[in-house]
Amino acid sequence: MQSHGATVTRSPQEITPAGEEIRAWNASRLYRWLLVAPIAFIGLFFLWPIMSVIHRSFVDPVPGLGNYERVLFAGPYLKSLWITLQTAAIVTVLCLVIAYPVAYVMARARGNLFALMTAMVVTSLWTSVVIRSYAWMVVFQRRGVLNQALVATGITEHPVNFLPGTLAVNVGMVHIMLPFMILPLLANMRSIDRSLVLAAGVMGASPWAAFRRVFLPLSIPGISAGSALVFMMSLGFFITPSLLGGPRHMMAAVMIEQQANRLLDWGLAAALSSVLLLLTVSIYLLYLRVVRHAEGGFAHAR
Amino acid sequence: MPAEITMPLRYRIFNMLLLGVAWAILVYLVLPQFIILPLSFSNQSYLSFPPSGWSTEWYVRIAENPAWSQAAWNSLAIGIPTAFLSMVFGTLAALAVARGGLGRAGLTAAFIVAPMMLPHVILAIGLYPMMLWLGLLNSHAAAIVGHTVIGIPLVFITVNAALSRYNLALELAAMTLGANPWQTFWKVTFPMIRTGVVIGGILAFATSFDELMLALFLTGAGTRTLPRLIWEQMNDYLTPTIAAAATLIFAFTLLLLIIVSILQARSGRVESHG
Repeated sequence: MQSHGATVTRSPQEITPAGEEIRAWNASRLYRWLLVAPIAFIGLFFLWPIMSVIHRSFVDPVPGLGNYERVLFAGPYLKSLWITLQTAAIVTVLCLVIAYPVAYVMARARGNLFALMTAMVVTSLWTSVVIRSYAWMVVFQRRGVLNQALVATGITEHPVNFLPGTLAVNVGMVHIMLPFMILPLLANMRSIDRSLVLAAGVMGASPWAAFRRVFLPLSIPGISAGSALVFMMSLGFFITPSLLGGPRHMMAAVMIEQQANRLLDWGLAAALSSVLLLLTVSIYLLYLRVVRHAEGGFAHAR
Repeated sequence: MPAEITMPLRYRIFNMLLLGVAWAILVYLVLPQFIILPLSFSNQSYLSFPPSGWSTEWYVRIAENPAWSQAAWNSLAIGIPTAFLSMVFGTLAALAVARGGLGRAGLTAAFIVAPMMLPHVILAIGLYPMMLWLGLLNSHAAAIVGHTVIGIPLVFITVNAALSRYNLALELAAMTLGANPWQTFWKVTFPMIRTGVVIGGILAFATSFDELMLALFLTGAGTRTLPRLIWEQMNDYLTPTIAAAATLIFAFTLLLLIIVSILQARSGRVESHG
């Protein structure tokens, strides 16, 4: 029926296809105009403020590279950036190691079991970060759950001072970032055709070999997406390190907030922010390159 | 799976171990909520866990202290406009990127999603002098603007997903049959992406409701949000009042989450029918 209609209109004078094209073009031009308002809003209240921060890092209080000199050579600033990178890397690796088996099991689950597991992940994701960090304070404090357990079981004689400390920051941040690793992995693993793994088994591969040679390579897009997301979010993390980290484990965002809000050293805060921005954007660009590189092989394997 | 029947014993043991590990991690994920809930009913003023006795004193204190109700009101007064603005801008952007045939659609999408990915502290110290200059600092409007910037990407992503699930030809058909663009949008396009728009809006609201960094810089003593109030209380003293507030906020977020899951399930059903 459809083909009949098409032949009738199309064959004599070629008017309708051309007309349709004009309509389609008009529609998409109309749609393009819709972009004006959101781009203007984001440009004005996102791009402009960020540009002004970068600008400020070069001119406040005096024009020049003074702020960057201080970041590099004076005070605890370079160390804070190093701690930030280190923490982001540790958290990303821990999240990947912990999330992978969870996503693997979840990807195989069906029905109510899958719904329950997803609900646990999503509930955690939806719980306020401030509240979750607070819960970890309760766990790690001197009279907290962990110390009670340690003393009761005789592992330590006296309560340990976990707060402020690196261990508490890492445990708290891994807990908050975990859903952001599990969900991309899960999305990827559910799209992997399990019959490929079965085929490997039928052809004589051991389950371990089938996993390592077939499943693991196919899950790389999930691994890279989750890792990039967790690493980038960890770089700018504020609440958990601020509550649990203290002055010796001061991450960049905590340092920036302190410089701007309490010490009113806006030039230094702007310079630190610019460096943090550069780091985050580099990670994002690196991730895009990895994805583009892997996409051809992945699409092929699918 | 037939392959599992022939699996050697060590692999079956490994599988059970894997299952155990996965469940342990999932329990670890929801653990904090189960620490805070009993703590909020503790009868002691310091945070001992498990509590030695029970009371509702901390909930009474929240009800009696106007700071909490003021902060709750501020969070709503900032979160609801944020959700609305994010829905408008996010939907417009998603329509333009998905239907506009842009040459650089990928780049445009990256630009719109960028506020979600970059550290919020940078946006906060950038917006602060701007809001000061505009005379909006410490007002609801300042926080609404900041939160909308990070809320737009969430709506953009959910609406984009909704748009990619249905056929462009339906809109063209409506236009060919004489509907003007306005009618086409409200009668054809919008009903199909409505769920995506609403879910994105709820996500934007939840993000605003939980956001701390922008609130620290852009709100003042009279406009501080719930996360900021909890934050200030936490730095001063640790009492179960915070646990009680946290429990109430958690219950509220859970309610939003349930609404989202119902919406998602319903949109899934509509799709399978259509």
